[in-house]
Amino acid sequence: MSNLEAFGKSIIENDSDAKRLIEAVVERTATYLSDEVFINVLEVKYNLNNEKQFDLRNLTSIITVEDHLKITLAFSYDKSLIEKIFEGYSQGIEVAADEVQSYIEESAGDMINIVLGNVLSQFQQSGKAFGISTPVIINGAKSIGKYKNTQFFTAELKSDFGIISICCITPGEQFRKQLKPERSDFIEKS
Amino acid sequence: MKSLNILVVDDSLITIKKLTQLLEKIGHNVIAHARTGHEAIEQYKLTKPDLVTMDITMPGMNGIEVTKIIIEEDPNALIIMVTSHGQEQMVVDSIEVGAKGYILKPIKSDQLQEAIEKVYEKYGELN
Repeated sequence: MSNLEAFGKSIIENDSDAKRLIEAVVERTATYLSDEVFINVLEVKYNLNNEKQFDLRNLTSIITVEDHLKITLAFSYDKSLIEKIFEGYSQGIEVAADEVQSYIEESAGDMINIVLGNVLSQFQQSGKAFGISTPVIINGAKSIGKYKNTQFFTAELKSDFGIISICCITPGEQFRKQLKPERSDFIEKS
Repeated sequence: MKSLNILVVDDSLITIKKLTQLLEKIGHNVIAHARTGHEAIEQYKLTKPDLVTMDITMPGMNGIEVTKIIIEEDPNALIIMVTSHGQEQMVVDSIEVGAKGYILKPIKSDQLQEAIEKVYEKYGELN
């Protein structure tokens, strides 16, 4: 039995799995935005051609999904868009002025957690649930750069209130074949 | 059904506030909240709620581990997992440790009410 069979099928074993994952994430994100915070996505642009870096917007939330490989997903928001999301998400809730920024960050964390939590049920193939980290929020960073064989699959969702960029960072195909999980990304501070 | 005293467990304060708003809207009282597993166990012992809503993904001890500890202390505890994780195995793991119900985020008021009523009708008389 190969390592792969022993651990069950990974979420991403080839580029078409990565494409399927990011498309599912984009679709669920658009539905979430429209149903929960009444923001319509006007246009989606994909880049599945393995960019050298992922440029970050004003605020970014990151989650790591782990089966026998680690996959990192990042949602990066324009300021105007995350403020609008917060406005919709916190409707009816009293928030003190000095708490707004931390609630905006929690809204970003909740959104990536809900979207990925919902999407991953479509990808579970083995008898073991994926491990999903708690969201990490990053302010003021410039980009996430490629390291060694990592691959970036990105999408941009444009709305009336700004853009959200989504990036799925996976170990490279050669790396996936070798099945040696390790961290494979770094963040460049501005 | 009668108004229940509820403990809300979630690491996100905005989710706690949203959930509190929904629970109060459907006639229940949120008597306490907790943002970590340890706080949840402490608050459970202190407040003895009729029901707990439990997030799964929390820093440190996750909601499944917390549920297991609370159920070991009080096998009749009514715990509903409230989480974004729709993975079948996650549901199975939660039920195996003693959760009585499961509801998916984003939370809708009617689904929350239905889940609470179902759990309370089935297990509430034990308490």
